Amino acid sequence: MVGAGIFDGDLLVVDKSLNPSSGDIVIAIVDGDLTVKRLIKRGSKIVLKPENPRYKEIEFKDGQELQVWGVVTSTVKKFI
Amino acid sequence: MFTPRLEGKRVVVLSNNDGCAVARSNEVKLLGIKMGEPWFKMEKIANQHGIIAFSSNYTLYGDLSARVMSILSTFSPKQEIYSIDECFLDLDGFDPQSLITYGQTIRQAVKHNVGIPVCVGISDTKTLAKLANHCAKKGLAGENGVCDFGRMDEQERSALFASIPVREVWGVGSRITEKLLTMNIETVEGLRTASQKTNHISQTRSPSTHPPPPKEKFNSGH
Repeated sequence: MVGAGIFDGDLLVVDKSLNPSSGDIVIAIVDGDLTVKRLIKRGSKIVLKPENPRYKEIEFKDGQELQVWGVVTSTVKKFI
Repeated sequence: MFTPRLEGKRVVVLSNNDGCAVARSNEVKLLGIKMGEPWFKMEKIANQHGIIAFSSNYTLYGDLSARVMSILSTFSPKQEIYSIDECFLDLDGFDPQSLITYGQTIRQAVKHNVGIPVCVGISDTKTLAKLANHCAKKGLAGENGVCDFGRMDEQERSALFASIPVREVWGVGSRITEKLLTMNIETVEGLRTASQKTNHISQTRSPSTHPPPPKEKFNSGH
């Protein structure tokens, strides 16, 4: 997620009470793991976009369930 | 919650120093592993059935409990936190017709905002609310984890109570259960209908003899 300013080791602040909307950075459950991606709605499709050219987008089509765990509201950088 | 792939798996949490099982997922309960079972006794079975064991993290549980209680506190002017995973909410003055819907709202709020599944039991006394919660949790009555005894008719309630062992009543432990058994009181219904003249225990223990205002009770239950 380097494109969104989130780097390895950063601390994320997540609000579970928010309802995710398109454009939000979210923690999603993909194949039993938690992952941070940008949530994008394209027509009828929902896409999880890794803000990093090295990774591929994950598409969700009709019938596929996407579980959003929480919405990322801020990030904390550590210098040490 | 933080490891979604564990959902539906056989998981136990062990006490300090990984001594005994203090929490079990439903899948482990089905294997007949009891609460408090020492790890050294279950290790063999655990390996056979692929049970995943974790050390406990009480600081985390305390934190999550505080989050759940804080959400619950917004649903009633009066909250009584009874234990790390239980609290009573006073619903006196709320519309009795809509308490089930209210219970669902509360359940969803906790699930969405914290991620912990809870059940709601609603009745006229704390003892009955706890019993209603037990019924909701075990799927004996109510729907989707919410059970309101007030919305059941007398006949339904009698049949339900007749199917629940008396030891499930709050305050009825192993010794009172034994004593009640000698009086042929085996079920909640048996206790409720027991004659108060012949049975001094029912005077202090029968749920029907406590008359405080309506209470609602929560209990996290997976």
